[in-house]
Amino acid sequence: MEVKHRAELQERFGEFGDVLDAEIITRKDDQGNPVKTFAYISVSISDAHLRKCMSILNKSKWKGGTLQIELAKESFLHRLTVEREEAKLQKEKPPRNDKTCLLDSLKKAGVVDFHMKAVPGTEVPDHKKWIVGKFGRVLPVLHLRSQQKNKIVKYDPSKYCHNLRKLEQDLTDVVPISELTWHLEGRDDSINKKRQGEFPVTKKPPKKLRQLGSEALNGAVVLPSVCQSPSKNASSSQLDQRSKSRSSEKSKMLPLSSLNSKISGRGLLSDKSNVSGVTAQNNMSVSDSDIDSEEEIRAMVKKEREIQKGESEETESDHLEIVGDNFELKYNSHWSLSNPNAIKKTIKGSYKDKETMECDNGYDSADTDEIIADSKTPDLNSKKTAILEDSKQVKVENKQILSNKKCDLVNDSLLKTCNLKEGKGTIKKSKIAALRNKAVNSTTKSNDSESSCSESEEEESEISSDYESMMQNCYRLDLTLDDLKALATENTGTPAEESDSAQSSSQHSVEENSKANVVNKPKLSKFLSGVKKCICPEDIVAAILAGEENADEESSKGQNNSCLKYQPFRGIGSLCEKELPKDSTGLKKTAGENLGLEACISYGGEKSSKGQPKNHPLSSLEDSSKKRQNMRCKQHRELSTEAASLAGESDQPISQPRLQGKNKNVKSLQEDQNSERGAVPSTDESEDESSDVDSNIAVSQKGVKRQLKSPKILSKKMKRDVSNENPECGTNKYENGKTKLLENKEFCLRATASEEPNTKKRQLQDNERRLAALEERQKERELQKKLIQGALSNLDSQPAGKHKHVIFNSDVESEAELDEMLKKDASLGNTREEVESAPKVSGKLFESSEDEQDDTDDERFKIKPQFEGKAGQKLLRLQSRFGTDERFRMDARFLESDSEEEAETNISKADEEEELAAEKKKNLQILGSLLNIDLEQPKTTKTATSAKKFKDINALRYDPTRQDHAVFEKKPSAPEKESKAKRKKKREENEKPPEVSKESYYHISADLKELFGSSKSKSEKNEEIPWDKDEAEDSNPPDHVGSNAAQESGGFKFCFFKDPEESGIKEEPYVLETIKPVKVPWQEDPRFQDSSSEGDDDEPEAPENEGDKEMFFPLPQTESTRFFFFSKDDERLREGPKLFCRSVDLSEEKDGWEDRRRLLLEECRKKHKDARRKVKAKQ
Amino acid sequence: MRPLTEAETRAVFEKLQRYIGENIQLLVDRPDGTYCFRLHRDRVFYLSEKLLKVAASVPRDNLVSPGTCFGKFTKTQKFRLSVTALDFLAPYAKFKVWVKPGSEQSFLYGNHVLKSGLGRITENTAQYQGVVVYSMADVPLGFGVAAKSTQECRKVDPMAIVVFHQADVGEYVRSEDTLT
Repeated sequence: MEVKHRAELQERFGEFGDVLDAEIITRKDDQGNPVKTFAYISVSISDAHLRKCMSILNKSKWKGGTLQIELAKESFLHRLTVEREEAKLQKEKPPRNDKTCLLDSLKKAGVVDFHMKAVPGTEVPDHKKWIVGKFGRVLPVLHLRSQQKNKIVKYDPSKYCHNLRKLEQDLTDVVPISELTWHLEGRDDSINKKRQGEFPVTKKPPKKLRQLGSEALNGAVVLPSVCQSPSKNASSSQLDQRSKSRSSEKSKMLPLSSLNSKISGRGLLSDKSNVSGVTAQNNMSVSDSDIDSEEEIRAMVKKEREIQKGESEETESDHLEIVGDNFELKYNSHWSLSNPNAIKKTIKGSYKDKETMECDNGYDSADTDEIIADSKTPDLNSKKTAILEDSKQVKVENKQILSNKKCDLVNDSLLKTCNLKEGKGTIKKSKIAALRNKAVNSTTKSNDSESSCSESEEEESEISSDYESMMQNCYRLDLTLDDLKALATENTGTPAEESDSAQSSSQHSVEENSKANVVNKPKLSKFLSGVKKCICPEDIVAAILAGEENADEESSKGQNNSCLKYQPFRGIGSLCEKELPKDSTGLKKTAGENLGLEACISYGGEKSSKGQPKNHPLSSLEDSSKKRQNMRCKQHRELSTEAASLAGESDQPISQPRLQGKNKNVKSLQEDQNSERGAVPSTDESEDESSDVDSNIAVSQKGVKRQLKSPKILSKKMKRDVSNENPECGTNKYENGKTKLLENKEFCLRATASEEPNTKKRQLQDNERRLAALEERQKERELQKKLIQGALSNLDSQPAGKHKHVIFNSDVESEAELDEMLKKDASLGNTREEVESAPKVSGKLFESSEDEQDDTDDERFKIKPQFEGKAGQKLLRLQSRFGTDERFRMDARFLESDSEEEAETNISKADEEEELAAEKKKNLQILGSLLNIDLEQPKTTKTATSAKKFKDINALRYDPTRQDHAVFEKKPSAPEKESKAKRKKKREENEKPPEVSKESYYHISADLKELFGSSKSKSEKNEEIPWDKDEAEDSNPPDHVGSNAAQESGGFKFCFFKDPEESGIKEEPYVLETIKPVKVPWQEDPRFQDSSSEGDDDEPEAPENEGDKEMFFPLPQTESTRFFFFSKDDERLREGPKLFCRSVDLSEEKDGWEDRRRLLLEECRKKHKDARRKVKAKQ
Repeated sequence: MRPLTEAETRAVFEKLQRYIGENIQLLVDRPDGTYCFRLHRDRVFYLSEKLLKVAASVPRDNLVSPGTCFGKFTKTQKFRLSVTALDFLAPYAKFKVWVKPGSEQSFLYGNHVLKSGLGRITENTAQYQGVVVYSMADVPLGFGVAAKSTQECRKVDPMAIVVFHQADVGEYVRSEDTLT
């Protein structure tokens, strides 16, 4: 059972080979009982012997247990020693190699005389500042600044080489393996412990441990030749054995190591050992437990693998997620955070939807550029609508709707583009061709629209097939577009002869088209749940296309209508149209056509409304109408451009339904239609009757403009309503379209033609309605009053009965009362009035007469001031205790002055608030001190409050009406109060040279030529004299210019030199005085300053002006010459060089200078002496 | 019921600061009304001004809990946070620890959070930093104190304690009688 001695093992294995070493390891449980025993045996054995040994001894029963023999892994320590020795060997070799290599390389490079072992201190040849250092390294000679002195010291590295020490890995004193003390990181970890082979015995099942142990490092390892491993391995292992036995043999060690490395490189052994842990190694474990069978071992291997995996996972990433501060919680429990988040989410979702929709749209419409262009514009609208709808509807519904919309929009846009193209083509080419085109288009359109309708229906039913259908639709449309193009080209090719046939065809097609349109529109409105929404993109498209489409649409519609019922009429109209456009250019042509059509249609409308009295004989009228329409067409042009600017909200054809919708929203549907119908004929009539086209136009323009504005304002309000009511509208329209297609169409077209008056009419109608509503209300009120009166009149008998109580009093009173009673009976009116006026509060007297009833009612229901407030309540309660007794009626006199209480409560409230605020403040302070934010809290609160009413300082404007802006006001300084002297001083202080420039400015403004002449004449002598003297001397005639200028600018009035008030009296000396440069105060005329005291100063001005005149010219002269730019013959150019030349003889100058110098010296000495004396005297 | 003294306020804020940092100011200075801290029976309550006025009319002996109890002062005048404050502190928590579903229950029974149960942790969590413990479904479960910093948490043994238990929602059941 127990293997206690090596001898036994040696005996057992000695048969096969020489047992060198045996190490027995015994696992024990808690009590110290041996659980498992195994041993490492190093045997010098031959291959064949090993095989034999394995076959014989493996799984043999020995000492009551099965013996299991395996190849052991190479011992870790053994490996380490081997590696170290290898390293040693390598270390010994390379340095020499290095040297030789270096020399070789140097030789190759051309360096011949390189002494490898140069004495430290020898200079490197050809490099002066390089020197050979201690270890033969070539080092630079440095020039360093010494720290203490400012010297530059030469640093020769060779002289300091004793500082250096070569750090070499000393393999000689390597710590013996048995004394290794290092340990792995994180040694405390159980995993690492396991790795190191330290097993917590109690925890781990012994089976695993053995395996681990086999892997792990342990003393001497015997590698008996293995049957599994290739022969190479076996030989190597044998070598290994030998090396183990004779560890000093290096010659053999090398190949062995290489072999080892090979093996490891192949990964044959090592890999297997790592992964499976069993197969590759011969673990000669001697164990007595019966459990150890192959299967078990396999199971163990599996387990081990799992464990290893788990460990690796654990070590690599322990499923621990580390998140940043900004990690958002999925679920927010907080009151404040949950709602907005949800909202955000929904918003996000909706946006996503939109985005996707947009993307889809883009994708769908990516076929042609035009479609893209069109689809982009509606996107904007769709966004808006989407936002609107998102709030109302569920996402899924949204998607559907959006997709529907999109497809519809695409359709619309395509249609429009078709129209546009056709329109253009027609404009360029003949009209008939255009008509024909339209006919074709209309057929296609109808097809398209039908298809779209059907598709939309399908979509309604099936949401899933949205995309495909859309795609298909687009594709189809695309094709049709191409077809249309082709058709257009064909049409252009076709002459204008086919007019009749084309017309007929167009008529047919147009009928279809109109039907389709009519059918389509309501459907669209249904689907889109908002006429507006479906219209907006159209609008924008229209705006982009500058109303050309309008023309087209209108024309098509017009055609429709005209074709439908007024074919002859239409013929005339078309003829007229033909005539008209010939003159005008392309665009105008279309407009004219449209308007002509409109006119025709409008007339048709009139006729229809009037019962169609005059269908045919209206040619003359039509002519006039054409003129009108032409005028109008221009207007329309303008309007369309305006519309374009206004995001196309007011494009007439498109705005028709919208307007209707609005009207419906504002009123009821029927009412609106009626009113419109009413309006239409009336406008027609007015049109017919009014010969003044201009006035009509003007009105219409106004109306349209109003419209342009109004829809915008209205639309916002309407948007919500529209979604609700528009389906109805759509249905209504649909019905109308079916039942009264004609009327409706007329209507629409009429509306377009006479929108302008319509708006006016509408306003009027609105007003009327309002008034009517007011009247109704009044009536209702009256009715109510009557009812109340009727009810109250029944109670009228009571007061009489109640009066009996009062009869207890004196006879006189009773008599009086009786009288009163009589009076009441006799003449109800007056007495009751009196009575009523007396008992205001009692409310027991009720009158039957209407006039008085009002009064009583009013009084009864009037708010009584004495019952207001808390005290009032109290009073009321008191009074109610006394019942309705008049005597105890509570007046305002009884009102307790509750102001005290209120004040108290207020005070207490205020106190509480203050306390709380103080507490808060304190808390924040503490917090600030805690968080070291220096009272950040109050600041933040302040900022928070201030953020609410943020004021942009830059945008701040001074508002004189606001009181708090008084801060910005400058207090009017009271100059009158100050003494004159002070003022002067101030002025003197304040006023500074800038005036000089002004002076010059004046003169420049004056006649320059004269000035030039004068300045030139004087300049020669003037320049050398100081300017003030020059002024004094100069009172020359040419200076009058300056004086004139001064006089002209008399309103300006400023004196350059001196306060005229000072020298007001003496004018003559004044001139002389001012000349002195010292005294020149460089100040402005005070009159210029304080205009407030002008009244006083006016008188002295007149005489002074003369003086001023004299004063003014001199300066200008000198100044006038000094322009910034040099002119030819500029005096400065002449004088400038002179300054560089010596004007006087040198000797003279010298003499003069010496004299002066002497004088100056004397002066200086004198002054010095004086100063000294003064100092002494002071001391 | 009385307002906290300065020392008490300081103690409370120091404790709160561990969990929500400077976000306390959001509690003190709330935009939706005036809120204040009040001491009642050694417990600190957080209540609105409105509630304060109402609660003032209740006799002290009969008043169980005005507002939300944030915690209580021990006999040594230390402030101990209670679970009831979780609803107010969780949204402002700076450092969070998410507990794996498996060890959720363990935490809710009042045990510390082990490394094995640690699902997620806010980065840069310092040692002994107050944290709010969440379930993986982001439901706040309670308060804790980080026993290890985030970096240490990576290395540490699976059985090592990562978050010390401070208070958990389970207390609502476990210590129903003492919670106010």
